[in-house]
Amino acid sequence: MPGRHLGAPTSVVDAPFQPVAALLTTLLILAAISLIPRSQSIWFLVPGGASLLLSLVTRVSPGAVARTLRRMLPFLLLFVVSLLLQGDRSRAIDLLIRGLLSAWQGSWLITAFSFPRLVEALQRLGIPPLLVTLILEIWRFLFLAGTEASRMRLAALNRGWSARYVGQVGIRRAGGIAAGLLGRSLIRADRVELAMKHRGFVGRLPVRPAASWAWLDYLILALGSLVICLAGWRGLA
Amino acid sequence: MHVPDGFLSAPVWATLDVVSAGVVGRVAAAADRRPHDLKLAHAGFLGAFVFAVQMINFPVGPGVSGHLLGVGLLTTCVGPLMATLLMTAVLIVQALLFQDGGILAMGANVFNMAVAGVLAAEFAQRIGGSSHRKTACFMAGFLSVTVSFGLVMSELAISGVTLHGPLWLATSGFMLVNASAEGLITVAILAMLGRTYPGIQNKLRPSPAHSFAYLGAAAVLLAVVGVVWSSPLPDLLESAAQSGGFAARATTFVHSLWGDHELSGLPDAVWRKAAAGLFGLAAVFFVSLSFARLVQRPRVDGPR
Repeated sequence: MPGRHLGAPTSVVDAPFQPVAALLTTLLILAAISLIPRSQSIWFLVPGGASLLLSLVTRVSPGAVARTLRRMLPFLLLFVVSLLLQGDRSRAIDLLIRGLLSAWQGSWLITAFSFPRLVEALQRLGIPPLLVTLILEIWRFLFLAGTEASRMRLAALNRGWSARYVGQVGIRRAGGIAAGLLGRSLIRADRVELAMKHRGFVGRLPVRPAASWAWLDYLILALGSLVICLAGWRGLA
Repeated sequence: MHVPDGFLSAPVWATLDVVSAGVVGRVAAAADRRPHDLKLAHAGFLGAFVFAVQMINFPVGPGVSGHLLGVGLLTTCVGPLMATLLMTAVLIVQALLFQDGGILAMGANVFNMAVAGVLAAEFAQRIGGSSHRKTACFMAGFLSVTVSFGLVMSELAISGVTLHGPLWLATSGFMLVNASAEGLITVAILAMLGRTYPGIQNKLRPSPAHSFAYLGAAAVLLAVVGVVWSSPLPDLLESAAQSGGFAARATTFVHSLWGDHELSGLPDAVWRKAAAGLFGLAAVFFVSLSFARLVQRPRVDGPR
């Protein structure tokens, strides 16, 4: 359910380093995982070890990582089973290792930082300001849309609609529910924008100023660079 | 439909990251120049809405459920420029909040859904026009899902990850049901929205002023990326010539710089093909432009 997922990112304690450094390190480790040749599986230990080390340093709970891994598991298993059915066992194992390691590293990033800090990192890396504003507004409005959805659900339950039918609606009714949610949300958006303008909103949401990097930031970036040099080089060579 | 990390090979994700960054940057710059078209709060709420409706599952087969993608709905409501930005923003939120879709594979996901999906939906809207509104909305939803699915499967196949025959058939079948449901739900949402909140679509959708630049970007994309992935097999005429045994009798009178769709002088076949595509596109564009200017030149009536 949306509410359960939305509650999770706000509860994370931000890791003690800059999100830009963490994002760059994650990209380097993911690139290294992608570049390791299929015939040299032993080199997966390098990015795997780095991911584990980062998880230990930031004390990311294995449960949080497992929850995010579960999300991509059906997609991964579909292709792994398919490759096994085609008789390509080595490629299936390779895909399983790559998929799980990549998911682990991605999970570390999203569980170690709150969402606004990750967006702040994206902004430092140069994504367009309009896109940053849209991302932050979507994140802000997700909670409002969730509230509106809860109200609609409560109203439906009060009209005698059974909770066990939730998620098993027909296409026509699904369209009706979605249209109702969209209409209510847009009307609320008008009021929210008016309130934001009263508070001085001029089309761009403020972001906090960049903090200077500490030795830990340089250290994890060095770790990512080491991983790409050791493991990624195998693929480029 | 969201490709996670670890599935795509390095050349595929790197190419698509670069292409998507370029397209989204250009679209953001174009949209930034006219912020009066759509209230940002409305845009943000539409993005959040698409995010939310992606969580409403509906059955598409025995034991299998699908969900709305929302690309057709966004394109119909806010036009292609803002739809591309909103879908990109939704994909970034999904990747960074729930890890739904990879971080390194973000470019591929943006390209499949926010660029190609939106273009497909806009194409359906333009073809259908206002006279066949419901059909256009249905096709916008249907085509956006179908095009995105086709691109996902192509990129995975290029990366060496393929589906077994029966599984591929089953997945494609479910995708077709999902795409049809997407089309139907898009029509249902827009119809209900029009009945409940009349005039809201006109309020949201801006005038299509930047379609020329958008189509131009799509053409460049297809010319550079499309030719690289084009089939190396002979076309129908070449195939007939080969089977008839008269292919060897073909004579070349003029040696082109980019014969066989490859620009000579570059070391790598991929770059040769991409460069030839770009040169071909530029040549056709300038010839067409010159012709159009010639035809549209105003006649000057001199003194009689």
